[in-house]
Amino acid sequence: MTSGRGMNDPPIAHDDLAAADRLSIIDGLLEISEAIISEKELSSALQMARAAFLQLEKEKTNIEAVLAQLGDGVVVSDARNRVIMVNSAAEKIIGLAHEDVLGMSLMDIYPKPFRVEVRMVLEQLSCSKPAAGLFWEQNISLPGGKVIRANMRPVFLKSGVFVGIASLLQDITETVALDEAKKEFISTVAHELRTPLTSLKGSLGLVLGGAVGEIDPGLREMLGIAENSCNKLIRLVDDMLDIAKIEAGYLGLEMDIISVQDRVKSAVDRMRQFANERQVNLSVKVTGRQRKVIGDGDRIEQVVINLLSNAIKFSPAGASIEVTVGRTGSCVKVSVTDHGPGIAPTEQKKIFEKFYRAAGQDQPRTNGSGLGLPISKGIIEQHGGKISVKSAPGKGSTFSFVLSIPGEEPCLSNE
Amino acid sequence: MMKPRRILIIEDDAEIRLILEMSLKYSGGFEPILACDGVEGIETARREKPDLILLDALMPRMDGYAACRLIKHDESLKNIPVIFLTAKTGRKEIDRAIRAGACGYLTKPFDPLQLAAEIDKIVEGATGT
Repeated sequence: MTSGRGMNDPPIAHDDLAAADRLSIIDGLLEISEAIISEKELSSALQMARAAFLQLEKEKTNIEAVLAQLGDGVVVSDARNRVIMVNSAAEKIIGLAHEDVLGMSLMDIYPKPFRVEVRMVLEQLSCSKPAAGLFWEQNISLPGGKVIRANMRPVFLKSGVFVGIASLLQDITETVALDEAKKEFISTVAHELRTPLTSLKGSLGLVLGGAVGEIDPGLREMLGIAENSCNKLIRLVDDMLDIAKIEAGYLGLEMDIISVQDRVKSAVDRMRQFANERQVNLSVKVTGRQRKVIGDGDRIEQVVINLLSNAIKFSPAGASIEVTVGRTGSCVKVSVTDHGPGIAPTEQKKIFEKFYRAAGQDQPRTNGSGLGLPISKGIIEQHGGKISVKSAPGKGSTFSFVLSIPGEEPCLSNE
Repeated sequence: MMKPRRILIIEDDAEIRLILEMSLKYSGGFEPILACDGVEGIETARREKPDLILLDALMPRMDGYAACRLIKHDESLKNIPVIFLTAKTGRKEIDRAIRAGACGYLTKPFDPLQLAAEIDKIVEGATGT
């Protein structure tokens, strides 16, 4: 008996059916037809094929029903990047009806400025291997103000054959607007807090500086206290704004090629007066051949100042603090070691949390906002680095951070 | 003795304006002229032709960015160095001021006894003097 194809034309040429599915059904029929020997068997085989096809249709309908309920847009394209499935959320995001999107090139659902990039990405994804786990994610501004996050991932059969691309489209317009509002709020708060502080600091500075005439020693002492408190308040406002910026993810780093040891030396110079007042000795040791890193020099200096400030505050008079700059693997490592009371193991985990203030061994909690270490952590992490502490109660603490040297593997450990 | 430089302070907050005036007078190197917003600042600049302008960013009627752009497009004013003095400290705001034509940027709160020196440093850096 010949092949059953063409006899009753079973309904397998459905337009919406993926090419891979059609092929597998046809292959199945061919295998069956080669094996059958009678019309009865042929009829039975075709009934089986029909049942299989109906089952496939039912599953496809179920999948479409599930996709239709999703809030995020889903677009599936075949191996030639033609759209074969689209849910209603994606229709809304793209702004085209189901029937218009089906058959379209996947590239064409994106706005023109992104199409070249999408084409290149599609070429890469279609040639990738399942194990590579390659994907593409991009925030895209659409005409009309909508912002979507597009995520494309290749789809492979178990055999590893590439069959298409699954795209997830999320409408993040509100999230972006909220982020912008948050940034604007931080900026406004910064302005509103700094303006009265400017008047306060300015007035006190002018009076204490003698701009309005001589003042008696008692008044000078009181105004000096007011000026110190004003400066503390300014630092607190700056710290709170830094934390807010870190949490909002826009610290606004000004990246440049910087010498870490130069920044460390500058920070030590700036802290020397405070150390002298506390009768603490500061020393700096630079070891090995130094390399430059890409970073925001002022922010790195801010981290070293924060670490030094804590080390000085916790050191007894006559103690020393060692600052070292060296290389560890592919990174530059900076360490600040004090010989103060140390930090209990239970507290070591918490000291990088905001507003947490560690108590030294048998000592009360120190003054301060508890923001210096969380800010330092945020700054170092936004540089792709790591910050850590090693401490033994009664012996002292070493705070270290590492920053990757450009062109070398990123630091995975700060050891 | 060197003649004090005439500096136009454009600042909407009356208290800060007074502190700036006193601070710059006290330094001995400046003769302050005052304006309380961008519009008054431009008019005063055209009339007084100051040696230097110290400009706040956020002000009613006309903000500092718009005022700076107008100053830099005015043939009679464009060579006057403009320095922003503002509580806005973000990178975006600094870039915006520089794009508007400012030669430098100072942030609030400031040390009133160091202000004159900070201004000199910026002007020296910008003019190479």
